[in-house]
Amino acid sequence: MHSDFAAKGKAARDLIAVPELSMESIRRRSRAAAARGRTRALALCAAVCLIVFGASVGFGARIYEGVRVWLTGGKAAIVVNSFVLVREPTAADVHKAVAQATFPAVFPVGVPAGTHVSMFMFAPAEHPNTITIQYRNDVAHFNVGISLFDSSVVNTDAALLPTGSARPPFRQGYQWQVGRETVFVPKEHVSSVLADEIKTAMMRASESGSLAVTDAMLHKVIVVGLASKLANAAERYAPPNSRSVLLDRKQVQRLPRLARENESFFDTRTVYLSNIPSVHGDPDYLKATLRWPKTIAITAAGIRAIDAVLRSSGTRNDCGCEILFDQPDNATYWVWKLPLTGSAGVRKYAVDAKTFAVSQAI
Amino acid sequence: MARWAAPELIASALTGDEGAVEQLVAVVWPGCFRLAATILGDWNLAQDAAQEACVIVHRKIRNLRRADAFDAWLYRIVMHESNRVRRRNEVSEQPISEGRYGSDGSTTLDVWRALADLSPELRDVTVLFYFDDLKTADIAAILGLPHPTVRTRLARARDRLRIILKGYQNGSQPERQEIEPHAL
Repeated sequence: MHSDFAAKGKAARDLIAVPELSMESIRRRSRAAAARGRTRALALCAAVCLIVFGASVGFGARIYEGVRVWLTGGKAAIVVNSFVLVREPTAADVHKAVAQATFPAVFPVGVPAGTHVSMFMFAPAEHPNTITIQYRNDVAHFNVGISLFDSSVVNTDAALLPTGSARPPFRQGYQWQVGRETVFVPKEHVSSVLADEIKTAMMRASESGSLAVTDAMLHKVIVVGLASKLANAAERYAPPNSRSVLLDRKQVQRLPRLARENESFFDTRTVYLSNIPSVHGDPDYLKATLRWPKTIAITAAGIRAIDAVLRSSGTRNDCGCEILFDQPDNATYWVWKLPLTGSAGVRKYAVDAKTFAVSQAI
Repeated sequence: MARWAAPELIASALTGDEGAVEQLVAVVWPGCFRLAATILGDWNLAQDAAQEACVIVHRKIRNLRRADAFDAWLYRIVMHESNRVRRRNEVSEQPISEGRYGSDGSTTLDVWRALADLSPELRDVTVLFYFDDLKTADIAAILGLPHPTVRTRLARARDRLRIILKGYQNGSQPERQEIEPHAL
């Protein structure tokens, strides 16, 4: 059968009429895709630069799975060639990393009230010995990344630093030890008084106690997208202990296409960076290898449910809203429309998981 | 080995020469389209998959480090895009009609019918093995499957094709239950 079928198959394939290729269309689509890729990389770079340089650490000799740290005389230099970054982390994200950490992590406590954790970085991915938490508090002007290191990975001999263009810059900061952990806080973002307060509070705190304090600064819902304005409001509606997902306006605009193509919505908050090249001691994230784990935030069926809600309200193209999504059980989806302007109220809908029939929920 | 294009053209495209990239896209287009059409059994969907594959070649060829990796790279892209289009459109066991698939009589049609009677998983390995003369190890790499899985699928495809093609030779359509289930 082999030769006969193969020969017939090849002959049959050669008879397929091939349509003309529009090179202009290929050029246009290629340019559009490249622009999307650049935007994504730049957004990522901006986020990474913020957390890394906000923490006053540069990344480039004692190797611990891609992490090298020098602390000497109130200055720090770090070289990392791979790490994991989580945007808008939830308690599950932080607890998972902490459980795998090589040291008992005591998180910063005594930070100003109203502070939110906007990013969380750890390296290496499997058993972190370095954790950086990026805090955000515009009212108290507390926008800073605080780094926690397993003390056993810290070098104190600057002579071991890479030389030449690979040498990472040293940055000024406050540093102290809590058990097996070394804490580094950049000087230019935090006053010495506040640094002392944090240090004293951390000395008194337990691992679990400091983690509980950090949990309170994390989002309870999974916030997908870079421009959510309603995350705090959404948390008031999300059922406790659920896995609710909040989509910002831009992500909502992608839903009709995803529904049409029967695709799921991926949770893109976590990114793995590896092979980070060093240029004059600074990392070049645009040339790093990026990997987004394929974690599904909303299944294809869930996307159809949201699409059904947007259709039923005639706002499929632009609802001027953010969407909160939850699946309380196998039979129902809950969808909240959270308007970006305060003029209209929040609407909650129940969608039948089989028929996708939409009804307004109370 | 240069299945898709001349090595010199691939090497020029790798350097980022815009003209060479476009020439390469034009050269590989018929092959991409015919492979997608064979996998999908639908002329229009094949256009979607093949065009997307060419967009990826146009955009990412500069990232490829070695010219000799081009063939496997392009196979992966076309198969991935074809499967993506198939999932999106839930293309399944639709019989392939003549029309744009061309025909030189019943032989050609029998090939398309036989392929349409295979499950997508079996069709993928069958096409790559019989029509593209790829080795099972290469097919495994292209489809991202363990090597034994490819061999098993190929053996099952062979068994099924024997039944299907025998049915055509006898002038009858094989009973559906004879060729089902397709599940592996």
